Amino acid sequence: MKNYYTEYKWEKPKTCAHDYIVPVIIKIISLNLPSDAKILDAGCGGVV
Amino acid sequence: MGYKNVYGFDASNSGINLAKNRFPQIAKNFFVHNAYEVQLPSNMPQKYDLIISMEVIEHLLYPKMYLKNINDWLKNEGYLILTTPYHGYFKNLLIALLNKFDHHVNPLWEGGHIKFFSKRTISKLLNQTGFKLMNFIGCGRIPYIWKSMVILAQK
Repeated sequence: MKNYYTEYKWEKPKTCAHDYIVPVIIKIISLNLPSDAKILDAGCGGVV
Repeated sequence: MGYKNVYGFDASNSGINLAKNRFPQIAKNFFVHNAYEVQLPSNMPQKYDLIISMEVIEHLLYPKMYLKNINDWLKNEGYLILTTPYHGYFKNLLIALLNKFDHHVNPLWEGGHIKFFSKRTISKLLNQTGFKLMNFIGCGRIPYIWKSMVILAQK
C-alpha cells in the first residue's frame, strides 16, 4: 500500500495519556504477564 | 512496571526521536514503521504478549487493516490494550447542542482525528478483526461524556 503518511507535528505533544489514560491502565488492568513478556507500543511516537 | 522487553514503533521520525530521547536506555527498541505494513522490521521481535495502542486508531484511514496487523503480531491469546476518544450518543448530542462540532471534529488539524468510535463501533471492529472484548473502561470527565475509552481485548 502506498504510504500517505504526513509527518506529524510533535511541538505540543498531547498529554492525555499522562493525565488519565495510563493511570487507568495501571490501576484497573491486571494481566499477570511474566516480567519477560514482550510488549509492543504500536504508534509510540511522542511518548512523553 | 518492571517489564524488560518493551518495543515501540511509529510512522513519525520525529516521534521516534522523541521516544528515544525520553527513554535512552531502550532507544534501540524504537523503530520507524508504517502500521499498515504487516512485516515488522527484522531486528525487532515478530510476536508479542501484549500490544498497546494509545490514541492512534482515530488517526488512521484504514483502522481495520491496523487491527488485523496487530492481531498478526500477537501471540495466541495475546492481549491488546486499545485507547481512543469516546463518542457515545450523549456526548455526541452535547457536542452538537453546545456548538462544539468545529472544535471537536476540526478538519484544520493536520494529522488529526479522522475516525470517531463509539463503544459499539470499536467493539464491532475488534470482533471483525479476530479479538474478544474483555473489558471496557471510560476515562476522563464524567461517565458517558468520557474523553477516552480504554479497551482490553484478547486474540
